[in-house]
Amino acid sequence: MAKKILIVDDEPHMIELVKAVLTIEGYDVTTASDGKEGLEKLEKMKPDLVILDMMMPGMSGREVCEKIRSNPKTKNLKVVFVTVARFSEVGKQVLDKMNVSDYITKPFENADLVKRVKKLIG
Amino acid sequence: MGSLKYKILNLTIIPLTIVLIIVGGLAIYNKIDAERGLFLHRLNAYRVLLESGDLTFETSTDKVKLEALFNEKVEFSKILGYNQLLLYSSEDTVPLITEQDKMDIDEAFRGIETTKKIEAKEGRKATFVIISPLVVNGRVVAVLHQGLSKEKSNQRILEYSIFIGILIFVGIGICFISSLILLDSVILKNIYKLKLGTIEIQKGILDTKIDIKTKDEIGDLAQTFNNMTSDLKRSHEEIKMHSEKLETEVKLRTSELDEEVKELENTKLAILNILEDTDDANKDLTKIKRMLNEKIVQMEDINKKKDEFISITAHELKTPLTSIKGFAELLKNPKISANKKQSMEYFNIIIEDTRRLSELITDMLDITRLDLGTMKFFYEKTTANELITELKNLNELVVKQKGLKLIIDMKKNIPEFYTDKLRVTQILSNFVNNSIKYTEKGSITIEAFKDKEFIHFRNTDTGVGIPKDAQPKIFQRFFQADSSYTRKVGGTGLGLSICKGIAETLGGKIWFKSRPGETVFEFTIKFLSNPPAVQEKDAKI
Repeated sequence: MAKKILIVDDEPHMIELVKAVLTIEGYDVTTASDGKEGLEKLEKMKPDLVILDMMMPGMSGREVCEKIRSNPKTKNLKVVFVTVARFSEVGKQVLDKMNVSDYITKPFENADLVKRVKKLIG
Repeated sequence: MGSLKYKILNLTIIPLTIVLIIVGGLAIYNKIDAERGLFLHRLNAYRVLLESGDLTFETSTDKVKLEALFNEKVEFSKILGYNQLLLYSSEDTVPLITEQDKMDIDEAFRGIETTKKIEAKEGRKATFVIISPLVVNGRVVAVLHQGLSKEKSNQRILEYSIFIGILIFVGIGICFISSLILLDSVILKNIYKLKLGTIEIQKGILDTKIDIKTKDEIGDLAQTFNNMTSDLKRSHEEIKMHSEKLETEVKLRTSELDEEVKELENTKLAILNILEDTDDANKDLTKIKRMLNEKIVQMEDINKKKDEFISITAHELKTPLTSIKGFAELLKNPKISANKKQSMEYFNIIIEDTRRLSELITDMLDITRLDLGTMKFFYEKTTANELITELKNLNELVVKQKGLKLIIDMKKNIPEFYTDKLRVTQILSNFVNNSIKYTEKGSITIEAFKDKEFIHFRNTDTGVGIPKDAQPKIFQRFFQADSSYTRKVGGTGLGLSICKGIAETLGGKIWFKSRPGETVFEFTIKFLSNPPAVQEKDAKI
């Protein structure tokens, strides 16, 4: 059975891109355009991996991640951040604290995205 | 209503009944008296007969005469040696003359009358008896012995009483019915009319007139009522007139007051400006120091904001860049490029994001130049008409396509002035574009006029308006009222921030007012009749 991935991003073109790249690789991809919708879909579809945009209006990616970690059902879910910034040492410690599996920096290579996802869920 | 009727009836019937009962009682009492008066009547009759010499004391002739006269049974005789004694009896058998009677008769011959009641005894019925002397020419010529049956007398009294009773009853009945009819037809009818009249008045029908023409108190009351209603109507109309007058006066006064308040407000602002100027002139060293400190804090704040700006900018730039790069890579994949429809879609995304990137770069350059004060302004002679016409040409088609109405309201006699035509059109276009984005139906109105030493532009639309909580942030960079809406309508989120910078650099101001159904954006630029001597280059940090 194909592994399930949930993409949460407010940019429709980014969603389209990530979805296209991962679908070609045979993943079952679902999308949400904000944090609230993302959390709702998470409950229903129980994905193997969540790709979260850090900078979103309303609920930021970090807030969504905190919500995921505070829910016992999704506490150990694999989360990948999409960001524009390279993290400082302090930033990396915060990511570790939130138990973030990996992060990817814009603009990224499609192949790099696929490599990281494969590494996490196969 | 009924209770009044019965009150009036009670008032009239009760005294009437009492009077009738008293009169009846008196009549019965009289009858009783009259029964007793029979004795006297007979006595007088005998006396008259004796005096006229009609009585012969011959038993048979006298008996016939007396029976005809009294219409009664008469028995009389000269007995027991009383030569001139006349005995009379009626309604009963011939009475026994007892021993006691004899003594009474003797007394009567001496001129003393005896009245007595004989109880029923030995076949006799109860009888009233009067033994009276009959005196003629001062001499007792005979004694009259009269008897009256108590039973018959009582029966007569009873019959009479019943008759009187029926009379009273019928009398009361007639009075009651006639009063009732009279009350209903005359008095109460009019009172009903009065009541109906008052109800009409209560409902506010002031034209009500009561039609009662009787010449009594109720007629007077109706007349007074009619006078009152017409007075009421008149005063009501007067009050209405007065209140209307008052209202217009209040309106007038309010608008005058508003004017005054506005003027005061202006004066206050002017004074505040002067005070500020004076303050500036009087600033001392400590003040300079404090100001320097403030400047440092400000600079730090600006620095922080700059960092923030850079980070958002990076995001805004890198997002379309990632998308362009990513889709270009995908298109290299033969699986994708074989699908023509899919490829077209991806090419379109690349083109769209390239345009977005280019817009962003232009806007960011504008922002940076405005911040550094390095934006170049080219002053040319122009007219409001020229600017608005250009704007109209640029936007008319899009406005029409969306089914909106574009209204231009430009005051005549705006003199020519110097400004940067491109920059002013940039602000106007931004306003109109926002209006087109956020207005689904209705109109967009553009006005231009000269206001003291400013040229004033105003853009009004009938769109959804800006949410209340978003209003204070509208001129912030990268701010858009509703991000989900933004996806639909596009834009970089820098436009209004740039407009603000341009308007301020051109010596004016920018502001807005918004509620659902009406959003007004306005800006002014300084009116320049000559080009500025030196191109403005004041560092604005």
